Amino acid sequence: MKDYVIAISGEAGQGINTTGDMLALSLFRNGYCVFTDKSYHSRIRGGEYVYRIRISEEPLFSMRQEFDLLVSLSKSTTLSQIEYFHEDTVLVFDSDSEHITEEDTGVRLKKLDFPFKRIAREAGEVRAQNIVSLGAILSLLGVKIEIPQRLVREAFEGKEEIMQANLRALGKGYEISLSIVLPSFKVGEHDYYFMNGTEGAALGAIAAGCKFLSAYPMTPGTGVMTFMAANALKHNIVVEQAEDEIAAINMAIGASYAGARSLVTTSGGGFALMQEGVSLAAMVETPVVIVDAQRPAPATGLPTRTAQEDLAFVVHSGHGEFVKYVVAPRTPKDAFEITEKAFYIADKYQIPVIILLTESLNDSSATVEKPVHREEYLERFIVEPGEGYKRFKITRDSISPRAIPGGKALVKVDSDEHDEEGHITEDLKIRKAMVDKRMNKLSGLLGELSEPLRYNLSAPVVLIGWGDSWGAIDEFCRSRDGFGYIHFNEVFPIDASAFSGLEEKRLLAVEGNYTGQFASLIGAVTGIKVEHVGKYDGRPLSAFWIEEALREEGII
Amino acid sequence: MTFFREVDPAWCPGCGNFPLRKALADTLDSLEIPRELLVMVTGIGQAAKMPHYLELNFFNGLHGRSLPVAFAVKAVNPELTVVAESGDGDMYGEGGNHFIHGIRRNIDMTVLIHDNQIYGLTKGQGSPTTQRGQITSSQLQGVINEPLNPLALAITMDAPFVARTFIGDSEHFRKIVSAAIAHRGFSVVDIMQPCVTFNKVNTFKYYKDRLYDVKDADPGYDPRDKVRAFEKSLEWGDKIPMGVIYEKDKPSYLELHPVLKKGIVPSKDRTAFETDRELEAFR
Repeated sequence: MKDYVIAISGEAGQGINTTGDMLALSLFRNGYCVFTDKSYHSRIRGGEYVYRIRISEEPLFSMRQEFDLLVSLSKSTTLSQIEYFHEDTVLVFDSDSEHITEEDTGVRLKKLDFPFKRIAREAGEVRAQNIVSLGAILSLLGVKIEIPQRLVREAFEGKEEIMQANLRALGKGYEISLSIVLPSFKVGEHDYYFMNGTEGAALGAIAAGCKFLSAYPMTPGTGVMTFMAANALKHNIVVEQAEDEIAAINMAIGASYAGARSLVTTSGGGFALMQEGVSLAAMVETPVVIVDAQRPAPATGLPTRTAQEDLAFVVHSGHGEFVKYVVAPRTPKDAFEITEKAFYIADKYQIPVIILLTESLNDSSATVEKPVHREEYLERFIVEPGEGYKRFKITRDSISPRAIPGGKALVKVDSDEHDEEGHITEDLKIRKAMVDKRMNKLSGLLGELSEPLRYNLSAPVVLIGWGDSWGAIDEFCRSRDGFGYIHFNEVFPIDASAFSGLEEKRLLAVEGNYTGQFASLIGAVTGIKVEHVGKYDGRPLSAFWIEEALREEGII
Repeated sequence: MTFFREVDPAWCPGCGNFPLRKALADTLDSLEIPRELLVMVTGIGQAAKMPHYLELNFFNGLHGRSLPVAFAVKAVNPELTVVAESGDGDMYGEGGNHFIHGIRRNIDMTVLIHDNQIYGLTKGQGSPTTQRGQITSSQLQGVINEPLNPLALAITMDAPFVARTFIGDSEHFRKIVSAAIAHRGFSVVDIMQPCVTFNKVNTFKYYKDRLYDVKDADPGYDPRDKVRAFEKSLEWGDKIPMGVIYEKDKPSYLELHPVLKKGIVPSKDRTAFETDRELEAFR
């Protein structure tokens, strides 16, 4: 796969994010396939911020470890990135600012320096040095100047003078000729979309008709909340910032009881606070969808980094025994589609559903095919109650008729064990019947699962993955012989039949955690032995890392 | 159609919840709200069992969490009348944070707190409103913490309707709870009642001897005078005030919320998602 990786680095507050977004979008709109990621510290200003952009002819869904071009606005961030240089990596920096020397690094670097700051000052806006460098890179990659011009106009709308200065800076940047040899990309018109996991999940929720969101802000789940807030007026959504996560989940369950599809967003620590609520949703058989955007833990962990550490916790979340459905999208398109399905399954089975996102999925924009909106996922399974209505009626398929208050019958629900009507009971025969009813939902739910993605299962070693590790695993397996994979975006419940025929293979889970959580779950359900390798340093998985890890295990 | 449900409650004989249930059913019956349009949300505790002994929609949720549920029910369907009800331990202890922020949200609902100044269902531990020095099953040398003053707290946070009533005066109860439900906004009613099993200090006689209505005592009492109301809320001793202590007209959540003020009922909104138009921004 032909590709090229550009990194922009600087301190938080230097406009790295804005410049990176403009660069990525310009490349995408010019016909490149683009995948981005961001590495930053948990602070508002200062600290290292690295925005990486990987371009290719076909969509890719993971980052390459080493980059080809680094445009750096600060000496200290350059130094921290030296380990990702290869022998042809080019460093571009401002010639009037102090920057690293070979004495600092001990290795020879290919360096190009330009007076970005001076050019920006001449254009009339000293802060436009980012735009000058943006112009230089886009010019190198043959991007039509009209594309970034439009973005600059949008960014500075209403500030005519600054806008004009930035447009001049962009033009000056385009005049810089970076003497860099690129792979020759064939790019042109395409039919792709460019979005990150946050946008995918939030749009999926809106498409599913979610009308209520309650959340306490927690990185990296906050983006879903703020995206929904920004779209609340247009789509008639009540977005409420709760006083804590306990309030948030109880609100969402209340909204659902009253008839609205509802969503809670959080990260692992916040989800930990919601446990009694998860159990409540199961007991009152009231649908609720919860986004847990994972970050490294325990406790506060690394707020702005990524992990796949919450799987075991989420699968076992809530006290007591009940059925739940846990999904983990692979890509932003998948985040849209599986979020829609999450609301549908929650309604159909009246159960809690948890969507496991990650910081890397949420923050990485990818080139995706058009997400598919499915009207059938809007079915609510809500009944108009008649005489003798019983909310928890024991039925043949174990799904009770769900009505909402305000209709012709009273809707009674209780977190205590209850009878069919919804009243508190200590009748232990009823208790047993109610447990059976709640647990029987599992068989129907198993029938709803889609097939996992499978690749090259004739290979002797089959990798197993879940969630946003797919891009890295797919890229790794396609880059060499002898490896296949089976990859899941629905991670619980697990259908043992998905593994039939793999008993004789060497199975190896590749996960973003230490203990091999998915490997353990599969082992528990199927009895098959699954080995694992895990990445738990806070950085996303990559094909390069998988190769190194397998080499270390002696598999390669 | 009555809100009263003919079943035997799981309360101790002589419990203050019995007259409260009767007075509440009578009050709701007098309001002409269809049963189908009223939702009661409760937490956990002896007080929180109330909806099982009435005929209405109910959500009997978790200990301390009635207010977030009640808020959301009202927010997604403002056509419903919402009453949250629980005991002092549930509302002021486990759910204290929600009480504070519920007042801030000021959605149109009524909060009824059965305040018997003790934990009943868990057998006699001190509650947030148990008085200093009282010996309980978990504070054997006496409570040392300052009791929470719910009325003063609610007034400080500017709850728009703050009242106290007593299960020993069913007419007072009906008047106050009716006014609370009629008031637009977050109405707080602290209801004094004895716990015959676990609270030997705050007995029926204790309340009966001390409680007086602010308006009866002083026809000129103005619940809209916030400072005066705050002073009144601090009275606790030989005489304890009841009645509407504080009242204020202010816009509620429903009138301020950018979506809800348009008259939208989110639970019924089925605006279609136009995929192509929504996705255009991502090209």
